[in-house]
Amino acid sequence: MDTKSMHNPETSDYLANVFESSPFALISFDPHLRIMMFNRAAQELTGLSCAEVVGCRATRIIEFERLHNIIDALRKKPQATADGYITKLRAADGSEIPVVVRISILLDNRNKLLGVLIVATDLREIQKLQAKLLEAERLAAITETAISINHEINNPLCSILGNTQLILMEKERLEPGMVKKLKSIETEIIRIQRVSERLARITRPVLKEYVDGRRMLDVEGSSVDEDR
Amino acid sequence: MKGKRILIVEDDEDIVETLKYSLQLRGYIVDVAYDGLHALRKARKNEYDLMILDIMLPGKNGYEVSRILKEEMEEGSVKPFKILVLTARKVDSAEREDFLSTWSRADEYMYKPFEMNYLLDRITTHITEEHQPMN
Repeated sequence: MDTKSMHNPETSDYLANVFESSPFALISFDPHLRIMMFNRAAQELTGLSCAEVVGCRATRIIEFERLHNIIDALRKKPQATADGYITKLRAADGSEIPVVVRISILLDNRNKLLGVLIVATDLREIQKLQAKLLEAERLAAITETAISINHEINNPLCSILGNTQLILMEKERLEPGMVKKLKSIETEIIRIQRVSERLARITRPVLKEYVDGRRMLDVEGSSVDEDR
Repeated sequence: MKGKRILIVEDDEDIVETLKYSLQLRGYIVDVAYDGLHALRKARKNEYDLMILDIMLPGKNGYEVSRILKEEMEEGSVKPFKILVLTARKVDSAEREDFLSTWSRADEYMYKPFEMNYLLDRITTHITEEHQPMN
């Protein structure tokens, strides 16, 4: 678009409409980083009206410690934009909304800053999806560990239990105290086997308090009952 | 069960030793294979009354060994015998395990660690069934 058309009132209205109806939250700032325009999507995202923010400093709505540094860096690279910065917008209710922003600066012929435009995209849905993916990955990792434990433990248990029961088959030849100890070994092996089985049936990892603030997997609470 | 021949297919030597000793105590003649391909060669060459088969084996896994042998028994190239599978796996996907168990055509599945007396009783039952006269 040439400079002449930019000054045409119809073109200005058209551009204002484009800005206003963008599905992305658009915020423009003057050279002193005061808010000049705050489109509908930005208002919906933050719950703040234009009247509440226009004329305010950038920090009223955006947590952006490095904003000045980024703008300085962009001035050295005309036409450049800074993309992918993750920050937070301050909403009307005091909450903070995670967003990813794209920053563009507007310079005159003498490299003087005329304004800054920020395009913000809400990250909450993406973060929820990421949390779900992380949960799925965590479950997959636990399941893989459980399968390994199940296999690696059950094989040696097989030998221990088998040999214990072989000796118990000749219990008439053993002292009563020895038989009692072997029975105890047998019972504990079966207990380990049950834990290993439950570990392999984990569907949703549930953690419980252990000691010193550490947590441990609640094997009972995390696994499905086979008979259910 | 004196003189009945059992092939143990298992790569864990400790388990092999325990099983072998228990079976020999009961009078069985025991042979051993430590991987799937070795098991197939032995089963095709010799005559057995029962095979105790592990699943996680080098070469060919137990599901495949069982399926191949059961097909060859049907064709008549291998003398029929029962296959009792022992597995340490009792894993996340019950459906997959059910499918593989059916597909393998093994006669029975047992999970490790198993009760030695129960295993020996099941072996006796399978071998007795195998040798009952047909009506």
